Amino acid sequence: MSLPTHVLALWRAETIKLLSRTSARLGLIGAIAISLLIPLILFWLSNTGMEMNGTEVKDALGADAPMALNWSLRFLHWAFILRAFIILLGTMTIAGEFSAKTLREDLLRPVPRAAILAAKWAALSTWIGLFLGITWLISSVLGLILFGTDGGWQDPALAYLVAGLCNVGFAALVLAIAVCIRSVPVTIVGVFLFLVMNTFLGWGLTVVSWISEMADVPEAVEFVIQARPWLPSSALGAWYGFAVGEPWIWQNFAALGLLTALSALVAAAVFEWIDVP
Amino acid sequence: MSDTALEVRGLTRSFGKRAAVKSLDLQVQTGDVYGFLGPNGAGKTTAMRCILGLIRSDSGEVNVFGQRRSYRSLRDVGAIVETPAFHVWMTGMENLNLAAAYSGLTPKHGKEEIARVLERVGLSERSSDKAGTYSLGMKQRLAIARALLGRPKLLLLDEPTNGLDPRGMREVRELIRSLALHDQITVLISSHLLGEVQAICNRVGIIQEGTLRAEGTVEELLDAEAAERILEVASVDEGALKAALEGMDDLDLLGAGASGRLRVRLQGTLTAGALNRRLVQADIDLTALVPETRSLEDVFLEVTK
Repeated sequence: MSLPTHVLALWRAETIKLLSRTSARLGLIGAIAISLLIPLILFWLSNTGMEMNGTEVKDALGADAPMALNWSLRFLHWAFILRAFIILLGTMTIAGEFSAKTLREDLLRPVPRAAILAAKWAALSTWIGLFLGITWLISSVLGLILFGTDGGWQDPALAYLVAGLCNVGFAALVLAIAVCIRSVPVTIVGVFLFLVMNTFLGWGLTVVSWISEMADVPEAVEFVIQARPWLPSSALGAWYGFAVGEPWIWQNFAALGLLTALSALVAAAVFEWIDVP
Repeated sequence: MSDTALEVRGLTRSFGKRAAVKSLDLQVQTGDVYGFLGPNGAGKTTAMRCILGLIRSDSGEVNVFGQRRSYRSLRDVGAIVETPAFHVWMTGMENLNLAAAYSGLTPKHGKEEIARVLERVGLSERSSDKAGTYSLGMKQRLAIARALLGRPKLLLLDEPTNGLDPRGMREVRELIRSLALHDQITVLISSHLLGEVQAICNRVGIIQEGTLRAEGTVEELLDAEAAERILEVASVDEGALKAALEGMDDLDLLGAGASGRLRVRLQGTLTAGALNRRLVQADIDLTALVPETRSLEDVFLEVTK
């Protein structure tokens, strides 16, 4: 069996293994629940006589099926549901298997370590695709039933596609941290710390940019403000523009590519070097 | 196929300042069932992990069937390292399916191989049960089945009977013996259970403090000890026997053995028969004149003392 064929076989085997995990199945059930719940909530809001600031909510919303799609996508990110499952599954895939010694059993086979890592990443990416695919499909079908075919479908479709890429990049980051730390609780804390610090950095730069609009700031500060689209939080949120109908920012995509490539390289280099007793 | 299944040269691995394996040289010939013996902490498992590439060695070389060890050479190797690990929420069959994919077997070939190895270890009936429900003995057999996937020519087994009850130990022992005999698989088995090694292995290496202290066939190692020709002697009149033995200058009186009999080491050309004649001529009624049999345990204790 050639190496590419072997890696494909590993991808399949790792995906079957991942999907047999209770947590992975729970995540997919969560995706089904969200994609059913959000269109129903939107339908209820658009059919209620509720008013807000003198305007009926249904008029303010202008709900349609693509909006239901967008809301589902935005909810699962805001509620941190998808990210939480990626952190959990990514950590279990490497650090969990390291602790349980099952990773050692993989390394006793005639496969390069990088291929093992690639297969595990591909399996996690497949799960992400399934999660988003289920959300997209159920929200679309339910949205069509509830709201009809009106509305622009292209942007939500792109938003789901880009969200998939962003989360595949996030999965690479989680795997890299898991390979470096190799402890389940510390990896989870490490990823959360990274995200929190990154968010605070983003907020800090936003505040600084507001200040810069009101007062003169040194050139160095202006330069740092320009770095905002390159932050990991901006890279991992590159899908957001499509969901709210804003122009896309190329720096976000470049940063996403860099983050993914760097995470994959670090993970592969460290994985090649570590002892797996 | 190369005559040498496994060749280890100058293998060294340290953890901090402690050298777990020091310049280890080892040769396992094709067809051998090689016992890799050593007390706990001697460096057996570290050496096995280095050989398999699970952990890095500081220096040294490992060749498998004449080829420098790489992930490719693991195609010819099956291994169990310490307590085998499984995905406990998956069935035995699913665990083997995963291992078959990792071994590079096509789904069709993998299916055939899995049926074969399950049959070989006697687990066909329980293959659809979750691995987490298996007893220790069944897990060990499942691990052997996994190691046998892809028909390896060399099996490295680290403490394969650890934690098993006597029946489980015997089953695994029989299985290993049969794999070597009927499947022509070269086996390196690391253990500190000397009886087990003596029962299965034809060649033995004894490691202590990371260094190989003795190596050879079981017969060679036992013969070396037997050459010292130690006898246990007993008589109704112990005092007279002791006095007579003390008067002979071609033997050493070693004192009382564990059985309470006197132990003597014959020197020069003196034989057990000649000693018997002398004692009879001295009017000593012997109740026992027994050559002391040496076990691998005695050799092991001698080498590692």
